[in-house]
Amino acid sequence: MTTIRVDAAEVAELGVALAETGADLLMMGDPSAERWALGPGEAGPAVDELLGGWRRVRLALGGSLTDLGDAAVDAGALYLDTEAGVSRSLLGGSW
Amino acid sequence: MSGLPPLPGNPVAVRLLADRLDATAQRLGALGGVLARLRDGATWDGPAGAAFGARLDEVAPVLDAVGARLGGSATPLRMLADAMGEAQVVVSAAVLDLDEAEHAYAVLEDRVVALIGAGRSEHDPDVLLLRHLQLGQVEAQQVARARHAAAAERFREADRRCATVLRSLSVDGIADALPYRVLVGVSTAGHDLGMLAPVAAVAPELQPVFTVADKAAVVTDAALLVAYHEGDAGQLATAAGLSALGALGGVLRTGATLGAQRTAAGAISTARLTARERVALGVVHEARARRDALRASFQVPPPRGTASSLIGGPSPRSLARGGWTGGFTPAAVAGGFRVGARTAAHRARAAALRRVDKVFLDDWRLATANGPQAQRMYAAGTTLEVAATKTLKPGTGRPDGGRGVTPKAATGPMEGDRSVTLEPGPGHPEGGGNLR
Repeated sequence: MTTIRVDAAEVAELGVALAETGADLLMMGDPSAERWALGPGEAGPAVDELLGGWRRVRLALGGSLTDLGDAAVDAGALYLDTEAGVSRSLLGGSW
Repeated sequence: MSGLPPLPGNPVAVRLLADRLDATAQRLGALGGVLARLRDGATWDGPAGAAFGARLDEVAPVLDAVGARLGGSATPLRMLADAMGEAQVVVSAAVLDLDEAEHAYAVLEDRVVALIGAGRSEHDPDVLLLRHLQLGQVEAQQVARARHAAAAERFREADRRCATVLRSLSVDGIADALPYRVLVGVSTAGHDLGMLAPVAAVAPELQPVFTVADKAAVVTDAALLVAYHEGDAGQLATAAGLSALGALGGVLRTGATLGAQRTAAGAISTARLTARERVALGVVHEARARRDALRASFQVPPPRGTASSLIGGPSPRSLARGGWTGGFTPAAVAGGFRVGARTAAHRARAAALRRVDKVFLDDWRLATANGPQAQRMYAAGTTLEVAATKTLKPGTGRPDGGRGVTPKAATGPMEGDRSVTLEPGPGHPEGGGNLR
């Protein structure tokens, strides 16, 4: 038998957090902007590499988190809708 | 001015960078914890939750790797900032000392010249005293130079240590492969040079460079698209799983207007965003709107027993669901009671139509300020919303964006009929008022 136990609001909140994190990853700016602060030494290029050398994974991860966030918000809304519909059919509410 | 260079860099900015990276790593770690709870079924226990958890399994290790990469860099960067700050104090003092010593030496030399000019010889006691004082200034200069060199060397050593740690952190499972780096590098350089193309108007000899650079950028963009799936808005949105047309339309429309601001002189673009970034920001915007609508649905009073329901008006719950209250103020409801529900509805519809028209044109101006790509994205979003509105019956399927405005014209955002019909849409937590 299928058991469903879900906090719809929390799932939606999680979705927003995932989407925000995904967008932050996608929006990470140009790492060379940080270089001026480090001076002309070796640390500047190393920071460039550290922040910019995982672009492909960053974009993929950002996309995945955005995707999952959208799905979670969707699910939260649908769970709430379903619950409201079932309540209405059982209790005759006025939704 | 002395010949000693200052030590470039900004330790405060380096500490801020370290703090930011640390905060990001902690945030990713916290998110990983929430995802772990979710996988354990504490929040979402059911078949859909299990499917969601399965997808999280792919994401979690990458989140950990990113957290390790970014979080691991905070400590060496802070140490570098400390070393930089300390070295800059010493270097600045050395530069100042050297300046003063050189100046004092020059003043003493002037006095010597004056004495010699007055007939004194080099062996004159006064001249010898001045020469002795000059030697003292030369020693002070040497000390200043030595302190400068030592501080600079200490910083170079700290810089090397920091770079070594950062480079080791960069060698992980998420680092870009070489072919990809080459493509991205050529694309970036090509676009950067391509943006300078107007310079060719004043320097025609550079035109071939800009032309080649722009073509290189286009070619590498195509390679990134084909080989690495980094493509246009539609593809990105599809890849992001935004399969529901209405939601995708809302995301595209919202994304197209981001980065532009209204000013007295009209709309201007203030941020250069890629299509991918616009889609992501649009998703966040839509997710927040829907989350807020969900919250609101828990906060409204029960529909029965309110003044509004007693006089036959819409329930507060249905209004709050869509965040739509225009035309249903207490005064408007009372007026409707007098002149009849039909007249009130017509008035509300007309008011909504004007509002939609204004919002639509306003958004279109923002998208226009963001450029042709944003315009296309806005037009696509509008078209998708119209398609979704026509496809989905109210109360079925995924909410199509009842929170937004959807002009009727499917052929283009500035063409055709932009008339709207107001259709309260029951059944959606946030779709109380669908405007189409």
